[in-house]
Parts: sequence; C-alpha cells; structure tokens
Amino acid sequence: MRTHLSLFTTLLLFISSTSCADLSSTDALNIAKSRVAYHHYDKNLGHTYVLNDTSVFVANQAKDGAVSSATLFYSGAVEKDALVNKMLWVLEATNASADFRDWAKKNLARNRRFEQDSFVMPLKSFSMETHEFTYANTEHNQLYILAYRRLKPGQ
Amino acid sequence: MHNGQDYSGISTAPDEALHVFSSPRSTKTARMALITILCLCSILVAPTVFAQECESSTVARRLEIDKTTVSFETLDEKKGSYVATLKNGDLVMASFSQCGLGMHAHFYSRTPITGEQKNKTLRWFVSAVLPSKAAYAALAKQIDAAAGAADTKTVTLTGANEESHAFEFKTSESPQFSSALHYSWNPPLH
Repeated sequence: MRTHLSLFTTLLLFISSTSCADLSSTDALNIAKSRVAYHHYDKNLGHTYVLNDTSVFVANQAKDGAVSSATLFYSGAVEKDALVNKMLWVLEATNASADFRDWAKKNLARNRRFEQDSFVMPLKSFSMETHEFTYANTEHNQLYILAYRRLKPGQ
Repeated sequence: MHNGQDYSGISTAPDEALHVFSSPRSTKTARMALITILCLCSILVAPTVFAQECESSTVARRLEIDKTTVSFETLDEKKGSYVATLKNGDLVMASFSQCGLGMHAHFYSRTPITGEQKNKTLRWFVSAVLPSKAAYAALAKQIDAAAGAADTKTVTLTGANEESHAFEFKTSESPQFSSALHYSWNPPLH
C-alpha cells in the first residue's frame, strides 16, 4: 500500500512539474494573438513566431522561464522611429519590466547609436539587468535583424 | 432670377464674373482655388507617375522546399515576401522585388554549416530557390564548381540569359542561429 501511495505521489509531482514548466514556457511571450500567423514552441529551440506581416520572431528562455535572447527578422523599414518602435515591441513581447519599458519609451530614441547603420546598444535597467540590442542589415535587400539579449546582474 | 428659376449665389453673366475677379479679395480666392485645383491634380496624377516607375515586378512564389520538412510556410503576394519554418527549427525567407526585377532569399541554420555540408546546403537551397528543375540543371555545373570555393566571400554565377545568381555563407547575426546563406537573383542589365 505504501509503495502504491509513493508511486502515486511521484506521478502527481511529475505531472504537476511538467505542466507548470509548459505554462512558463508558452506564457512567457507577450504577443497579441491577432498579430501571429504561426507559433511553435520547442523545448530546445525556444519560440518561433511568424507574424502577419511576414516578419519572424524567435526567442530563447533561461531556466526560470524568462527570455534570455530573441531576434526579430523583418524587412522594409530603416527609419529611426520605426526601429525604435520595433525595439519597444521586443521589450514588450519579452516581458521586460514595466519600469524599464517606461524608461525606454521616453529615452530610447535619444540614443546616439541610431546614427550608425548597425550597432550594439547595451542598456542597463534600474535593477542592473542588461538589455542589449544588436541591429544589423544583412546587406541583402532590406532584410534587417534586430537581436536582443537580456543579462541578469553579474552575468 | 432667370426663367423663373432661382440662380442666387451663382454667377451667370460675364460682367458679373468680371466683377467677382476684379476685387483684391476675390483675386486671392481665385488664386487659392487655382492652387487647390493644381494640388488636387498632382495628387491624382502622382500614382500614375509612380506606377510608371514600377512597370515591372517579380512574381512572388513559394519556394520548392520538400513539404515533409516544412512546419509552416506563408506567402504575401502583395508584399512579395515568403517565409518557411522548417521542422528542425531552420528558417527560410525570400523577398521578391515589387518594383523591378529581383529576388533575395535567406537560409538560417540552427547548426553550423561547415565543410562538406556547405556543398550539400548550397545545392539544396539553390534548387529550392530556382523556379524550375531546368533552371537548376542549367546552372548545375557552375554550382558544383562554386560550392567548393564558397567560404566567406560572395560567389556569383551567370545563367544562360545573362542573369546573375549570387550567394554567400555567413555566420548568423542572430544568436538563435549558427549559419546563414544569402542568395540573390539579379536580372540581366539590358
């Protein structure tokens, strides 16, 4: 009887842990469903989103479920304002803290790195997290790549 | 009043019209009306002028990728863009020029593409990108010769109609992918 009980408890624990893990992985990104044409989650590869405008967003998560890195592939827009909006969208999609997003909304556009064609832009939040944007043009017909990394303090 | 009808507010007689345009205020109004008409005309004509600049466009199409390896693909014909996500997590994107002739395609691989894999990947990707098997056959010899030389520099092949096919292997700019293969098709210059 004891063996059955312990087996049952182990089974319950296993089911609850896997279902919680799934929840943390699928709920991690904050992207409006109306914008998504396709979404796939893979334990090893992370999230892949194809958005309605045919841009592609891929993201990896750390063990705690928070997004650690992401990339947005898109075409067309080179204007600074459009790029700033895409960066703000990435912060929102990856659930960056509200205070950092507020700061970014007010201050991001003033950054001098926007004067360059491609750049690496590391930004520190109040909680000492590093938000690093890397912007690059593939030099192939307006395919732009906006990569994002989030590093915890000390990383 | 003319013929019992009320024409109040509408200038009908020539002398009345002369009177309307003779005062400075009326001249200003007439000038404004003329400018407005000119603006409206330019707005109406502009799309035709721009349309003439984009007389040709490249027909967007799905790439020839083995359907069993594709998990999702989409084609936006208006925008001229195509995306396919593969089951192994790799990514294929293509854009077809909507103002002129031209096509660009990109392959992003989750795993590094090295050595012999480069030849295999190049053959696979070029055959997926080209519109027909005949088009691939016409370039096959050049592709075989170029595959070995394709390291980090751009390799350009010339097709039977003097169109050019350029490709380049690169380290991926995205941390989610290891390698990238960029391809472009450019029509003959004449």
